[in-house]
Amino acid sequence: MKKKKSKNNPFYAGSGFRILGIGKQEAIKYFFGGNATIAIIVIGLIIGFLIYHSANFFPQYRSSLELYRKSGQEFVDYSAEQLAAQEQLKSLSTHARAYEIQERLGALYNIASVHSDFKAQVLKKISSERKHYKRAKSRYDNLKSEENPNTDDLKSAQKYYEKVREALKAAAQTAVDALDYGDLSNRLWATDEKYLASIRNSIVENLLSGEKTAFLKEIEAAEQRMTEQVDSLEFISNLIKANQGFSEAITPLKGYVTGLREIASQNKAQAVNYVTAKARKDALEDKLAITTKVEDQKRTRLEMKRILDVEPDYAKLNKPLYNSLDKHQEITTAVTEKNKVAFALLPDASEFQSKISRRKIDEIQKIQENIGQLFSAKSKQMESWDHSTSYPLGQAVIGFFFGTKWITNSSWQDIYGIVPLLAGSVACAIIAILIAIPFSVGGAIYVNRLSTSTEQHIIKPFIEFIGAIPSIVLAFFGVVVLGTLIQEYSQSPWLSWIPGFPVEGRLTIMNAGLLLALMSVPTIFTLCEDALNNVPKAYKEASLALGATKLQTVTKVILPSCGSGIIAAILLGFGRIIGETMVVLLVMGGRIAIPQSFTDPAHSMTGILAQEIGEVDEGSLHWGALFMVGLVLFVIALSLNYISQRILKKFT
Amino acid sequence: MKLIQTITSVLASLTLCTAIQAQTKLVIKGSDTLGAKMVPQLAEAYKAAGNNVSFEIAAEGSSTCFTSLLSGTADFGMSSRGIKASEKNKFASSGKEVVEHVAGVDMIAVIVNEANGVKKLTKEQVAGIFTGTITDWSEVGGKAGTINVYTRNTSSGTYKTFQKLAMNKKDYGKNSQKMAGNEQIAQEVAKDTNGIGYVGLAYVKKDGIASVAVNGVLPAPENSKQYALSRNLYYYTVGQPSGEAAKFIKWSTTSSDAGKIIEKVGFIAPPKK
Repeated sequence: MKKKKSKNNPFYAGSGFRILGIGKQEAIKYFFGGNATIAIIVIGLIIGFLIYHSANFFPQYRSSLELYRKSGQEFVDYSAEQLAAQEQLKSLSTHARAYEIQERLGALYNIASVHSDFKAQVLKKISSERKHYKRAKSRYDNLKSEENPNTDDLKSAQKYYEKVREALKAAAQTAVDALDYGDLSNRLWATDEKYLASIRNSIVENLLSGEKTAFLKEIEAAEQRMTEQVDSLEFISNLIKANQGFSEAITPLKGYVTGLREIASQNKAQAVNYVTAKARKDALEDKLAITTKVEDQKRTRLEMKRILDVEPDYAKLNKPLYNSLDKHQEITTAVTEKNKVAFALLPDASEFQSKISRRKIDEIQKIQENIGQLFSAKSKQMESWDHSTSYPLGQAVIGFFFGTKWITNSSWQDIYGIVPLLAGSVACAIIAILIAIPFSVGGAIYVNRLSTSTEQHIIKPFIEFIGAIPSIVLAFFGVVVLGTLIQEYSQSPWLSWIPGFPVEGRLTIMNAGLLLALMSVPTIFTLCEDALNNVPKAYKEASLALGATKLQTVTKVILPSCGSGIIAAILLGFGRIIGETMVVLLVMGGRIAIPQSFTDPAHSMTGILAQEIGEVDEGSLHWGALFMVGLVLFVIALSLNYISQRILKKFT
Repeated sequence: MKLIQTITSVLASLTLCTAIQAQTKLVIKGSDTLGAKMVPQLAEAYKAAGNNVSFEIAAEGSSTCFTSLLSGTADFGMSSRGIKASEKNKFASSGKEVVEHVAGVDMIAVIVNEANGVKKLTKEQVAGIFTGTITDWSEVGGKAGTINVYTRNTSSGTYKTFQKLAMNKKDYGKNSQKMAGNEQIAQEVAKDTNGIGYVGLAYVKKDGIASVAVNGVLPAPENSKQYALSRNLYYYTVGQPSGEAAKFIKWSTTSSDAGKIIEKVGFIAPPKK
């Protein structure tokens, strides 16, 4: 076999030019190879860049937390936790009463809200009529108040005024008649149908007279009467007494914490002054070197002298804290005493009719069990607290990976704990993937194995088209359309059995999850189809030849043989969802707390990066924390990819 | 003839060029609170008053005010917060000095849904709600319902100012939802009957929301002295301003025409010295 010597064959080594001994063939080879190498180098650079910027975070965070300890803020926060528990007791007992009243008043409770909501809606519709009315009225009133009014003018003004008034009344009537309980801003307010007519009439009357109508007064009186009745029930009056007990116990504790906070804040200010003094001095020295004017130099030197660079005496600064321990002991015993009396008064949950009230009472009882322990534990921590003990690096690391608080730009102490962000990201991704799997995997199986070729030609491009929608457009759709839809329909009574319903705000995990599901469908669908295409044709033919139906072939033969491919596709889809930013930033609501249900708002790792990186000082602690989050995100995406590749390799 | 034509046209274009160059250009960068409406409208009025200046305004957040002043890419900056110590250091180390000018006063209005019965709160209650110790409307005299708190995000100047003015520097409660801008907060509160949030005075007239009287005072220009939550807005310059920048700053902070415009967009003109 002889190779054909042709100039048309670009891969023929001997053909054409040569530069530095590299022919066409080699040139092409090196070009592609070079590109692949550059890709690898870039990935390496990205990893290096992430690690470089986040490397300093933990030592920095540690020293920040050490300062938090040195300045006595840690000490104050222990007692602040006690205060928080006590305040929660007060809140919960207030809620229990309010929800019981809501339950017992029933339809009556929401009439005032419905009234004001409807009125606001009507006002918007009849604004032009109202303007006319106001003008006519003021003219008529002016004429009337004149000493010697022209009777003809007065008459015509009166006539006009009456006419406009009628027009306003008619407009208001039509506007109000068009309203129904379904138009309420909060559909949960919908009350008894029998009140609807009275509410409508009362609104019209109120619009014309501007005064409270008899109906509204009557309703208010009835509401008050009923509330008093509820309050006079024995268990509610006990609850009120308990609530008073809780509130009374708060006052001294709050005073104590506020006083300490003040001291610790001042300590912190001094400490921060000292820590940043060097940077300030360096800056001014640089300035001194640059400036040439004698006057400026003089001023700069003066400024430099004013900078404090003596380390504050923390032992002295924290003395008031150590000295306050006796007082703290006194206060906590008093609080415990008061709480004991209040807890004894607390009615049993079974006496309440309202489900929410019962839940609140249960929560109080849970606190009751733990509060003694909490108080003694925190008191013990306060007693053994020492400002001079150093803060271990390990604790800072644990604090970051397991901390449940993410507080930045704080005037007290920045705290970086990734758990709420991670929880938000993962919760949203799980919802999205659960919704996306049936659509995308099912769709792929159908299109690849069961559909006719016309269907294939329609469905496939459509699904792949979804991937072309920019995520910001989807996010807008989520905020304006989907969010409102979910909010409105979740208020329907027949959906109330779903946990988390009715949804309160528009921006929730569920909303974001739905959109992300849509976004990940094309990814999973395409990869699934590839996996299905990789199944050898012989499998299908053998199965059909043995007499299996098409469906049997798919479920018994095809799916088991490409299961690993499908799992890999799902994992890659999951990775895509975790990394998505725009939708979660705009649609998920930005609440930095571990979500309790899938209808809560939450924040995400990607979202926090996008939101905060823009205005952070380069090299600061916050900057490092954000890069740390970025690194975690990168590691998650990388490991998902790695796992999916391993799965593919292992089973094919 | 052709030569003469060419020469005249070249000359004409040259004179045009010099005419354009005679018009000075002011580059202003910084806060979006100021740069969204107030400064552009002031700039328009300033031009209409017969000053031959063109403006380039970029509003990307208060922090960009200082970064662009430092790099010398802006003639002066706008900021909705005072300069930080770390930013001051950066200026000092490059031998520059920043000068602060009060551009106006903004009031941060606490807003609730229009249908909410609660229209009055004490400052303490506001602090309680935003720090998360008060979680239900029944605790502040309203109908029972869980309070949903909407706040600006952490990089906003308003976020920090509100914390200082209303919350005694305590941290926001963990249940607060962080929104990107004033507009977004107003939208969500308008849709959420149990929502509460805060926005600049310019946004309180949006549909579906109502501002709350704090300590009995409603946020309105005439109440600026008594209202608890007002803050200064600033212009910053490197050194004392000179030339056209100085003229514009002086005009916009002292003249009554500028004052009217500032009030029209929902802020309050800077107090007279």
